[in-house]
Amino acid sequence: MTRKEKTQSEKLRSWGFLLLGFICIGLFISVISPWIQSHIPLFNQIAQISKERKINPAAYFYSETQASYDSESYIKAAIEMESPDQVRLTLPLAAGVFLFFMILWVGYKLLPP
Amino acid sequence: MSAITNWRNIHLKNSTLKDDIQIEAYNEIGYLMILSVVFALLFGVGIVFMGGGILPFLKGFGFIFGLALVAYVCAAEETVKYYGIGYAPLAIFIGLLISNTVGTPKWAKPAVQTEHYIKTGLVLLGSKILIEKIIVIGMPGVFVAWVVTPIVWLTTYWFGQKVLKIASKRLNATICSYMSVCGVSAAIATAEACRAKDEELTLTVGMSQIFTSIMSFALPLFIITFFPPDSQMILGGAWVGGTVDSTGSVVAAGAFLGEKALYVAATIKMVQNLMIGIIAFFVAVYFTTKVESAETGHKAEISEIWYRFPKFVLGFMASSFFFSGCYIYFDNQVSGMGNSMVTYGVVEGMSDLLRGWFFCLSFISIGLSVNFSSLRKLFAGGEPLKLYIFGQSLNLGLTLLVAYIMFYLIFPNITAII
Repeated sequence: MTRKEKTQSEKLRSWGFLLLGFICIGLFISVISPWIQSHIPLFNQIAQISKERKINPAAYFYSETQASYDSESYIKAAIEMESPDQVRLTLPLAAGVFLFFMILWVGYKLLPP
Repeated sequence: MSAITNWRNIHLKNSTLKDDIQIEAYNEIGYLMILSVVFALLFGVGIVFMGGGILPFLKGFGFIFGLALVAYVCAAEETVKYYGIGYAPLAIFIGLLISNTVGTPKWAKPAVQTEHYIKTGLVLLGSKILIEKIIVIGMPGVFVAWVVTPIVWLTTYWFGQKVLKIASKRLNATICSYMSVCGVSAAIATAEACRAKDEELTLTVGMSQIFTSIMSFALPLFIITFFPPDSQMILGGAWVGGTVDSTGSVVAAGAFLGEKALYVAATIKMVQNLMIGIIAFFVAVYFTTKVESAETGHKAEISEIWYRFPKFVLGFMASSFFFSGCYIYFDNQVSGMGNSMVTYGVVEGMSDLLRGWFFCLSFISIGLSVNFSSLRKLFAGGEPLKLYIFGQSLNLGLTLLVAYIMFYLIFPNITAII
């Protein structure tokens, strides 16, 4: 094989692998993942609930899912009604936050450089 | 009460059915083209200030944007979403596929600007860190989210350095953040704070995503099998919220367990999300003052520390403080106005959309600049995997213990209220 033919065959092989990769993505999306979902009952149930409740299981942050806001409203309202001092910046809560910073400070001092 | 619950469930089902039959085809191509031009100009300005050529950048940006669009389309597929697989691992995989087969085109390379996209997205992420939300679930939430997490982070980091002897401290720190804080967002912030390599972030996101997908249904299964029925909601919800890495998976798993489990899990995760900025700041300070000093062999002067300090962390914190201040100010004027103006207005209306695109562009860029051989070298011996398993096991055990103590022994009144 000449150098030019070798380079061309390498290029063709690269494009072949790229196409194969995209085919694999397509297969995973359209065949493999639905198959897994239908064969693991619990996973299927979670998927159905996510669909009904319009939950995005792929959300990365709390603000990307409405359920976070609903949860926040519910919890805050429930605790505020019965025990309003628990949802203010109280001394115990501030102590908890202070403990967080203390743990980080101790970690900074003790971690290996 | 059960009549109200039944009515609400029927109402929810009916509204979902209405949406299903009202689906119409739509064409967003025009808007997407306009969006790509806007982003190209926005980032192009930054490229000019950094001394780069704007024309080569603009030439390659369309390619990067197109790939980001492909990642978003694949991530929007329903079944993929249920696995908790978002645009991040898909964007990395698409980029890796191209760079390791035909190679990243030379004309597209000026637009492969990982840091530029990621740091812009991170400053926007700061606007979501609304400090006021830390009080939502009271003391139990603070202890489960803000006390367990740093203990797990620090112990896992120490384990990685002293026991596993992982060569890359930055990989170690990035895995710790992904696993103990809140997944992809925390990993990105930490990776940039400690200047981790693209390969290290790629390995962290790719490896950890698999565990997140498994835990999102394995944990609820464990809870319904082994937890007493009266503790499945609150204790189970707190456990899921404090341990499952991705927020979406937490919400889905919580919803499966029940309404109250969903509320507790989502709230605990939200309180955990608020920690990202502080952890990133801690990592930046630790790496700048200790690790880099040890690597260079001399103690750094203040000016040198300032020079090396990743400035985006300050932008992140400033954004967080500014919008938190706005939230508190508006809420004091009219109750609920903080939510309307900041949460629904700024965060949902602008920050979420832009940040998602910027992160997707950065993950595409990461994939396009990483090759498989460097990933193989990083994974050699399986140390990152062992680190993740150790850290997550510690996280599971400690979160369960602290959640039980806080919700059932110290604050049973809050548990009863919820």
